[in-house]
Order: sequence, then C-alpha cells, then structure tokens
Amino acid sequence: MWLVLCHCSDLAAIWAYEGLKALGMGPLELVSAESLAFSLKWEHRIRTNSASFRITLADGREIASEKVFGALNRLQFVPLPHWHRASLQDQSYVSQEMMAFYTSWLFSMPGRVLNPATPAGLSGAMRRPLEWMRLASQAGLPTAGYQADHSPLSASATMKSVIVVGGITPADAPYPEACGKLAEISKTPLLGISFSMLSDGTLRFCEADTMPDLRLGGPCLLDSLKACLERGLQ
Amino acid sequence: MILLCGIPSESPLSMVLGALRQLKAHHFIFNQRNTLKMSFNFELHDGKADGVVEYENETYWLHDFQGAYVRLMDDRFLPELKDEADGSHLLSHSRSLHESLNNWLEVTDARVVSRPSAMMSNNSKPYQAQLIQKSGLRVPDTLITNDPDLVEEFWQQHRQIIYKSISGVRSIVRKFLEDDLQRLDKIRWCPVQFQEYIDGVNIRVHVVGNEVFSTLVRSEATDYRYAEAESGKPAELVACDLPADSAQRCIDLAASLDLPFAGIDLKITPDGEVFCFEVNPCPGFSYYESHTGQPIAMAVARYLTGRRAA
Repeated sequence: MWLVLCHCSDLAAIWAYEGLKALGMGPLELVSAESLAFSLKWEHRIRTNSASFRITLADGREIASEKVFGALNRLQFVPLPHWHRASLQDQSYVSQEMMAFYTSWLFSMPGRVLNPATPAGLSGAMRRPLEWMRLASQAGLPTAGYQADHSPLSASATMKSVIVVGGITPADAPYPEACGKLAEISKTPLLGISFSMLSDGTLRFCEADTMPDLRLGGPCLLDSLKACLERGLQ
Repeated sequence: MILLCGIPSESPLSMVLGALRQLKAHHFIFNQRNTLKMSFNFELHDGKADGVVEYENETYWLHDFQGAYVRLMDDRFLPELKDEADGSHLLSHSRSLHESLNNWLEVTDARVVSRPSAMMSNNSKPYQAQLIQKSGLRVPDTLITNDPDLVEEFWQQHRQIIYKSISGVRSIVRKFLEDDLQRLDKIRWCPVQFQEYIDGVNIRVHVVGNEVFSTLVRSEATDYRYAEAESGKPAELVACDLPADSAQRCIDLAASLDLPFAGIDLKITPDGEVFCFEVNPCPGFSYYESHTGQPIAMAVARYLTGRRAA
C-alpha cells in the first residue's frame, strides 16, 4: 500500500491524496496524525539488519511496514489529546518520547518517502532561515545577505514558488539545476523554494519549505509525485 | 583562536581549556555566566558568516575563530536568570545571544565540536540505532510497543531484557523483572522501549576526528553510570585497545553523524561480538579521562586547532 500521512487540516495533502487516487495509484491509504494518536497497538522493532513497524488504528486498519511501498509524509507533530489532563511534567515527557518514537518508525518506512523523518522534523529537517540561505548559496542560488537579528525574509515579497520532487523541477523553474541541488544537499526530496524579484527583474532565493502547498504545482506535480514514489519500487 | 562555549568550571570545558593552554592556542570563552555583558552579531553573505563577539570592551572577529567547542547548558537555568520572569529584558537578551551563537555555530566554516544539528541524532535512540546499523555495528534487538503481550513474548524470547527511554531524556536503564509483568498494562498509554540484555563488558569509545580512545568499564550494575547506587561499588575504568575493525567502524559512525567528537557505548560479548548501544554527541569525557589518563581533552584541542597527533 501507499500512504499519505498528514494532519486533518492539511488540505494540500488531502488534495494530493485525491489526485494520486484519481491517477490510479493504489492501494492508497490516507492516515491522519489525529487517527494515529488513537492507535490501539504500536509495534516497532529494530534488529541487527532490519527495522519494521506495525500499527493497528482504532478504525481497524493495520499498517505494516512490509506492506508499504512508499509514502507522502506530511506529519509535523504528534497530537496527544488523551494526555491533556496529565501534569505538565508528564505531558512534556510523553511529548518527547512520542516525538522520538515517531521519528524512528517513520524513518524505518520502506520505499520512497517524501519527506523522510529526521530528528529535526518528522517530515524533513526544519532549518533556520539562515541555514537555508547558506545551503541555497552552496547549491548555487543567488541569495540575499542575512543579518542575524534582521531577517530580510519579512521584507521580501515572494514572486515565484517552485516545488522540487525527487530531483525533478518544473519546466518553468528558475535555476532548475540549483533548485535540484538544494533539495539534494538538504536531503529533502520534496521541497518548496520561493524566490523574490529584485528591481532589475532577477529572482533571488527567499526561503525553502519542507511542507509546500502542493496545490500550487497542479496536475504536473501530481504526475511528479506519482512517478517519484513509484521509482522507489524499482 | 578557539571559541569555548559554556561554563569554564565545568569539567570537560575546563580540561579542553587546559589542553589549549598547553598548546599555547589563543582562545575566548563564551562564558554563559557572563552572557549579560556580552553581544554576538554576525551576517551571512554569499554563504559566508562573519561578525563580532564583544565582551568588556574587547572585540573578537568571528572569522578569527578556527574552532569552537560547545558545552552549553540551557540558559534558562543559569543562576543569573533562573528567577527572571518570562519575557524579562535579561532573559530576552540571553535568548537572543544564544540564538545568534547557535545560528553561527550552524553555518560557520570553523571546526565546530559539534554543530547543534549534528547533536540531535540521539533525541531518538531507536532512530540513532538505525543509523548505527548502517555503519556495520550490531545493535541489540529492540521492541517499542504499547502491547503488554508483545513485551511478555519478547521477554520469553530473550530471557533477559531491559527498558529505557526512547528520547534523549536521561533515564536509568533497568532490567525487566518478573514483578514488572503486573504493571505492564501501564504501557498502553505510551509506547515503551525494551531491549534484549547483552551480557559482556562495557566499552566507552571516544572518537576525536580519526583518533580513538577506548575505556573498559568493569561494573556489575545494569547501568554503570549509577553503579555505586545500584551495586554499592563504583565502576572501574581502564584504558584498553579496541579491535582495529571495530575502531574503524566507530570512526566511520561518528563521521556519518557529522560528529567530530563522539562518545560511543559498546558492549563486547564473551563470544567477541560487538554491540553498539548509542552515540553521545556531546560526551562528558572528563569522567573517563580522569580515571584512565587518556589524553582525550588534548585530542579535542588538537582537532580544534587543526594540529595532528604527534
């Protein structure tokens, strides 16, 4: 099965789920963070040469790693609704334990995962703006100067957005090779990149986002997502 | 010039400072106890970071720092700040200063021991275990579950198992005992990590760049850090040699985690099998150095200054 993991409010992910389904991708399961929170049974194993997971959801569905082909992963945090009445100390401990647990079972996901879990973010590393700025510069994108206490980002209007999927950039993307390189060196196969326009009309890197609004990519993005996920089977 | 970040009286920082003095290396201490008198500002242009740190009428250019050793404590708990109200000017200054420092540590070209992002891998022990697997070191069989039946089955399978936290929250490793079966129902609310118990000798390996320092730890306790409390006898630490292939795997593992300095916990079974438990990205090596005399602080100082071992 293919998975789309997201929060209930993530309309872009739900759009992608509907779109991928319409493209004939199946079996495709939409699993929300909120339904995962009420899972009846968790089993995550790590052995010398393998890692696996098996989750029984409250609605009876079972997600077992050996049956997963790949995933569009948009999880950002672990909802803990059943812990709201616990002490703050217990909530804090459980929150850290569950984040650590999710990081691991998501990382053990087989096939192509967009995006893989990291300790700095469940669906790709959340980086500071200046870290993205530095990586963008290393990738060959034109960047603005950055002052530690005066981010230029807030002053810039985004003029162009690009979504890179598995190294593929849209045909009309500015600096396509550098965009692909940024996704590669940041180990973020699904990456949104925004540019701002200077007065002379040139585009300059503005920010990067591990959770881009997929709807901006339209049908072409759905094709890219499908192709990228299916490449993981080869 | 080397930047030392933390509290100078803290043992590891103090030992690295001593080693830098022996090497006659210039240094500046970002002393967290003095951060209220300090400023730290930098800019990033074309991917290169530069700026200044100012303290008591002295100005240091960040481009002069060729290395940085980081042992920062959570600044909210500094004695100078622990009674400050949320949002106070002093707290805000400290937060902003530490944020700038951490940003710089992340993007500078200096040798950083270690970058904040690289220190995150042991926020999830089973995640880190999967990275350890890839380095070719064995990891113990691990089960994380909220199902008591699976734990009982795992216990029956391995005969002896332990449990510990999943996250980086420090926890005492405990053996799972028969009595624990009665309270297993409690795990239904939050999955718990169980691991097969590995019999053998504990080895702590400190990797500094390409240098390896191995310490044999003799202790009867399940978690030797708490040996005295658990067994009444403190752990005995002795310098030892690691088989060459295991030493190389430790070097490769630290490199794969972007850690120029790492503390790796191994156990060698009576059959000679090497298991790896976890990698500490900011090891408190002073405990090991003070018991064995291994020159770990000097190796860190040499790494920071770019000097090779004699």
